[in-house]
Amino acid sequence: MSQPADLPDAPLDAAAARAIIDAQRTRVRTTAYTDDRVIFGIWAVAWTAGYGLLWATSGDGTERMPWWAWAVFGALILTGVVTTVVHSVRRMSGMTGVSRRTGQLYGWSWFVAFVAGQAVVAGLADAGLTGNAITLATNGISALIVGILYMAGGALWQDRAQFALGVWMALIAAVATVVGLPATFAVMCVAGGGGMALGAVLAHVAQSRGRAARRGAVA
Amino acid sequence: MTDADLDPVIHAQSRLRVVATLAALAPGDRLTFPRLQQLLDMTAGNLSTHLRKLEEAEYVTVEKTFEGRTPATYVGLSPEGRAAFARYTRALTDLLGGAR
Repeated sequence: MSQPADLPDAPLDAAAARAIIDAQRTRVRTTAYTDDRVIFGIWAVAWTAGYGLLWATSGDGTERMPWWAWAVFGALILTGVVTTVVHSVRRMSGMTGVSRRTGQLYGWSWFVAFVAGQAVVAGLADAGLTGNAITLATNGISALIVGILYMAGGALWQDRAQFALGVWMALIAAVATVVGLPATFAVMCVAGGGGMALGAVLAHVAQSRGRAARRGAVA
Repeated sequence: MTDADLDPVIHAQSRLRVVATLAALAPGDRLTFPRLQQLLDMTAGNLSTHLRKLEEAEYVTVEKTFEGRTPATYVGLSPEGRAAFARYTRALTDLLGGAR
């Protein structure tokens, strides 16, 4: 896709000029900004597989779940975090200005919210919360943070799909807590993981539509 | 309308590629020189030459700064450059429409 660099500029006709504009626009969009399909995609996998495993191994009661199910779940969540951070930092490298500042502050809000969320659970545990209640609180607070920050992201980037996903996640945080364990895991796996997968599909549709609209502007 | 009506500062392959790349950024975003170079597959010397011409026309801003002790150069489209590129793409659309 690279154009011949450093050659004397050949005469340019209008169609060639249009093609150059489209090519560079696509290149910038697909390499210099984060791809929501990647981020929603990795979380769809992490939640569906992770919560699916917790659900599948909780048949004998949550007290008898094998340690490795929790370990695999933790590893999947960690993979999601690392993939999201690495993808975002890589894409935004060499860029400065509004998008970078917005992205950095938004990234920090996830970090601060989760640290504070876990501290709240630790405080509840100190106050006497035990076993299943701790699991429910951890899960409910985490899912609620995801919901709130997706709604905030939708507002920041004027992205209705992301806002709607945030509303869905907030709803799931409530439902997953109310139904109680082990059904919580099923709700998170199907409705949560499914929501993330839907987010990836919607991001893909939005990208394809954007491409078609730009082509339509000239055709 | 003919090709002659297109802004001559922008209407040359390399400069068009530079301006189109910067115009594809969200307003308010700028790129470091090496990152812009990578998005264009241009040599540093060639890119510098074209940036100078675009800077003379006040279409781009080139800001040299320091990040800690490392020098960094940020390149972005000026409001004039963004307006000129919008005029250019409109003229291009008219031309292509007229050719049908």
